[in-house]
Amino acid sequence: MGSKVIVIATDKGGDGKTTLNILLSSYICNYKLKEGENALLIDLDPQANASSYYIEMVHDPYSDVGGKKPARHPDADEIEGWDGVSSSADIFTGEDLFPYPTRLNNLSVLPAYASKLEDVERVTKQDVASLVHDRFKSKIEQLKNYYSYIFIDTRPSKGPLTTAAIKACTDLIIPTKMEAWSIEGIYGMLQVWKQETYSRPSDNPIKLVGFLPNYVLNESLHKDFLEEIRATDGIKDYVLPVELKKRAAYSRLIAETSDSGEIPKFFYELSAQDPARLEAENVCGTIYERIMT
Amino acid sequence: MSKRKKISIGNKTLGAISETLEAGTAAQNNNTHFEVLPVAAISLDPENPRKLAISLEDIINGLSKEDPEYAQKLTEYEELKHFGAEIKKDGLIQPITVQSKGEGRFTLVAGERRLLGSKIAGINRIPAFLRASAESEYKLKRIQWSENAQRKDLTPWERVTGLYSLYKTYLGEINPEAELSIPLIQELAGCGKTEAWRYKTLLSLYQEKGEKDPVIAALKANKITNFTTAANLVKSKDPEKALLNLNKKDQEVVKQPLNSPNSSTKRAGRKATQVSFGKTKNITVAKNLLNALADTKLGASLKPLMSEIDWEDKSQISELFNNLLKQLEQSTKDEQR
Repeated sequence: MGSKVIVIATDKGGDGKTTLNILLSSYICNYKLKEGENALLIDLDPQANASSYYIEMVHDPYSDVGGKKPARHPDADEIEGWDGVSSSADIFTGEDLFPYPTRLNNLSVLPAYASKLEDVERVTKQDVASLVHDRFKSKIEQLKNYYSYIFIDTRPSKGPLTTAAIKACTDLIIPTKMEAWSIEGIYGMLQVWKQETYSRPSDNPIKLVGFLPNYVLNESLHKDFLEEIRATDGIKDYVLPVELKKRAAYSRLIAETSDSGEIPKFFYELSAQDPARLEAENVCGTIYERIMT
Repeated sequence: MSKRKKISIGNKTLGAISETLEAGTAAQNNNTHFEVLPVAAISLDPENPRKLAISLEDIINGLSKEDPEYAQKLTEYEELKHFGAEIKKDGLIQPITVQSKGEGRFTLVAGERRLLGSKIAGINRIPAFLRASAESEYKLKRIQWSENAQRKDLTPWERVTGLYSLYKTYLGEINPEAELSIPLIQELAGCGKTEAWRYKTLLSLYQEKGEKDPVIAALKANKITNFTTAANLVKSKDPEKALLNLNKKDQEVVKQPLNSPNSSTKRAGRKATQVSFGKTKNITVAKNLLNALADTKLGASLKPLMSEIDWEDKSQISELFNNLLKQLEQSTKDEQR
């Protein structure tokens, strides 16, 4: 089986893309990677939340959205003629890539660099295919030779970067809150997926892994919506049979910035019976099974 | 206690999502996929008989007067330039077909003129149907064969080698025991029995003796350019002598596409002794044609009669036209005296 390029995308912000991305990437790296296998996280979101989880990021004063850029690379002094900063934006400018190491010794990160990513998106409609989509796809093909799993975090939009990610991916997951605007937002992202299915040959399909009900609360609106999409013909087969609840535990994992290891940073560092850990294992395990079949 | 009314997402949203899922899933299951590709990423298939002398390299680097095929290439270039301008103006109605080579490169399966015309017109991206790289070579050659059959003519040499190549892939993938029979040739080439006989005659000879045979060698050298003549030559008592006596007609290039209604396979019977302008059941067409004629000097005699005939009576309309023809014949005779 070839390398997997996993994209988590939504049209609407706040639906839990990044939370799912960090849970899934840490799950696969901790439980599923074999000896000698490596994984890469590429952050295409100028907000850089996924990058911040794994490596040190600093504020980017030139970003339109108050985004971040990576701190100096730990190997910066060893390489001459390099400014010591590498990011996902370099994929589009053709510069050499130096992924950052993380606490997980088999996971590296190509972090976001907010202002540079924002520049990449400022292309004309005519140029977007060649300058963004094709370049990204071509680089991913090369990276697949080195990484068994590539996780791509995106910003909530159907813009050039998100579309580039979808054009390069093997597996697409769409998390959604059980609320009206989030579910309506699925439609928009599905248009991008559908368009992409037209150009994929049968030996390189784009698999829609499914919709993950996310931030689910124990209240009637969420319960009703969840029950409804799980029962609707034509949709129910794509709704994952698991869900992620809204948990403070996940927020605490994200907030934890210490590298000491005393306070849990990864969900599998929580106690074995912790409901958050059990839920994350179950959800990520189900998603993993679907990706691998 | 009354049951709590459930909150619904709404049929509109659910319907839209469901339809999109269905369309995408159907597209996944369909074998032909579509993309708008960079022209620069597509190269020609070296094994497919070329319809044109001009190549992609000629277009990129320019033509050289030292090139022995310069005149033909120049003509082709002008035709393709015109075609390319039309594509630029109106868009390409039919996408080309390509096969992926991997690493963002593609081989052309069908659509050489569309590709080269687009290149000359400076069009950067071209719509293309994509075939999976694992697709059968037999299927690929079948597409190329039917594409060739519908577009420009092939030389007899290209027809023989093209069909032979298709036959070889058939042996390799479908039935290794298959003999070169008339029914098989009819199936592969999509032709009638007579044409299949001609193919069998030439292909059998090609298979047995290759280019050592004088008729096959003459085909390759484009000395015989009439397919029917070539097949008949093989069956003559003394093919070598017959080769020397080829007349000019047999050396003319066959101009019709393989499967056109005017091709030599369909034409039978004596030469026509008169011109027939065709028939129509459509009265409006007939009326418009006669009106147009009536407005010319040649058909001026029609004008006073146009309001007098019963346009529902097709025999009256026919007679009106025939009378004009007779008048024109008579006036031609009068002029010649």
